[in-house]
Amino acid sequence: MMSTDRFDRELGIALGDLADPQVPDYLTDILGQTADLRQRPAWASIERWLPMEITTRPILRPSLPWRQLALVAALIALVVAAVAFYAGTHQTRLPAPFGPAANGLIPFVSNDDIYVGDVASGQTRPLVAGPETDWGPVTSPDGTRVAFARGVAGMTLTDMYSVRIDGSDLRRITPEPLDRLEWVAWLPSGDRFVLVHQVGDPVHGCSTMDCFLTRIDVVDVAGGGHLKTVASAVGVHGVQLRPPDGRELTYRALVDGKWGLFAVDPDGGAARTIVAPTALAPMDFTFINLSYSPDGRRLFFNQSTDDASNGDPGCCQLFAVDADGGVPYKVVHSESGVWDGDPVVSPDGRWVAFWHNIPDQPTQQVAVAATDGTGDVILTGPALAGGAHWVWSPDSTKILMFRNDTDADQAYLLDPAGGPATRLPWTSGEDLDWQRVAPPS
Amino acid sequence: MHQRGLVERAQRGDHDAFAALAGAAIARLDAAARLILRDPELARDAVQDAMLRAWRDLPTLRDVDRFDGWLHRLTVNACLDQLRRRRRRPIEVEMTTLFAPSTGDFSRGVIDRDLLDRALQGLEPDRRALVVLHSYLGMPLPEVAATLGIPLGTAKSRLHRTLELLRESVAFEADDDRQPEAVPEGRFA
Repeated sequence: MMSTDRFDRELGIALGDLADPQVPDYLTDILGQTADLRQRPAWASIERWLPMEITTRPILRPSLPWRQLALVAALIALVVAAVAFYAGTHQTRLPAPFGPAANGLIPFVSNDDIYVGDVASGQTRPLVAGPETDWGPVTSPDGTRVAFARGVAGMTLTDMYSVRIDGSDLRRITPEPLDRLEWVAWLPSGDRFVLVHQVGDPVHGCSTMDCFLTRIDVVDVAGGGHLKTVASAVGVHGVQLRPPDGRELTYRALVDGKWGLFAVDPDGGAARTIVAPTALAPMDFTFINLSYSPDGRRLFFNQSTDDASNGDPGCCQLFAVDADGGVPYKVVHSESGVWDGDPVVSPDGRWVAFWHNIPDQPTQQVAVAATDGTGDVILTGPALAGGAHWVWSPDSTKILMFRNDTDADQAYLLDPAGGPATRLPWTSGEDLDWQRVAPPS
Repeated sequence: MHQRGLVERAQRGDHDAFAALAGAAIARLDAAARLILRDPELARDAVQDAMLRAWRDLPTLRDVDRFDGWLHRLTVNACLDQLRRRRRRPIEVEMTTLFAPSTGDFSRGVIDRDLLDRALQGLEPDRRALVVLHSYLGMPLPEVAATLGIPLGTAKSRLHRTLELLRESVAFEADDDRQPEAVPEGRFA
């Protein structure tokens, strides 16, 4: 009989012989499919990205075992749901566009339609349903409307629509379908919309990920208007509106082979440089995943580093900069070799949620730290083998996270204090956002 | 071109680079999927799912040097998803007529492939995944544990037990001159 060690050594070889690996004939089919499939943006981590869904979306299922509940409990739940939906869809007061707010409904995608769900009751209802392929719901800062993407021309182009949170008043935002729409954002006033889309061929000689000329356009939400281009640049990874009034669109761009941070007002004027384009980066991890503090004074982002003691050179550290201009500085001082990044600042401005990736660990986690960098780093939520993205609840008490490393199609609610995570009581696609509503008076 | 360069190019949307990476990896992935799923059609579906997901999510891969491990993980997860979908159907006991066993030449340390095939057939799919990840794809045990969603200690103990089971099964079959029987899946569960 063979020894266990010897058997173990031979097993790998034997398995290879048994499987007889050969290039299968379906490789061509796979490459044909991937050629027609858009990639997920590298910065797909915060609320303004437009993901492409390729997997079959699950049928909605009620999470609560209604049949097993007593009649009285069901009635109470229905009343709670009705109140929640009424509060979410019939706001008499509106929240400020930035800063803390109360938690409203969560828009999500299922079976190519847009739904809204209420966490407290577990109830969901369709917002926009039909034969079209819709995705990427984004609520307006005042919580009254939801914008979403709709595939046209065989999903090769994209239109943006908006609809009231109660499902009425559907309007097309884009005057015509756009190719390679990468990012959208509401202006705080709610009457204009930012569209970031790539144009033209790849920029010659560009060695970073987004080697396309990118246009930042603004358009009236009411529809029927024209796109007004407020900025054009190479390597834009989306924009962030600067609180507290959204008076600036902030973006990063590549200038003469170096990354910089820039801002322009929504009418295309008052262009300025926040960080001069001096950052060389062999990989695309510089000035991405922008996130403002709610007072608009500080801007958090991913940064590459050439300092090996802070991790592998090139990737990834959590930095911030004075939004009026200054020298970027490191926010979280983790132990050597750790990667931190993809920051999202809580609406109350106290916390920042980010990746915490320990070297040679097969998994990573979402971490939370004080925005001033003091105190401990709190790990929260499940260990993740792959990517994830997340948003804060408007009241800053939860983090809504979708994990990309399974086919579960389920989002999690994380406790920023590190307590147990729970799953949303419905299944959904990967799009994440959370309606802001006015806090109780 | 070096794999790292191809991965970086593919991350930037270069489909030709992705095609090169896929072409280099797919034979290994297809073999692993067939070993785990014991069904070429299911294996094809799993590898296809994994490849589509790989292309879609490649820009979010943070460490390009982990590309191989990441791709293996996607493939094994896709295999396990295939199995979960199958389990939602009515339970079927799959009876498979096996090859006549040939005698393993253990003096030269070679595992008889037919006997190994039979032994693998009798393992639960998650045990097959464990063995394939570790012994065929060469994935470190902590990564195997993460991929299968089990604690490291559990992965270690399960791998040890499974290897023992395989070893004893192969040895037993080698010493057994009986004709093979139809073996239902899950025999060694």
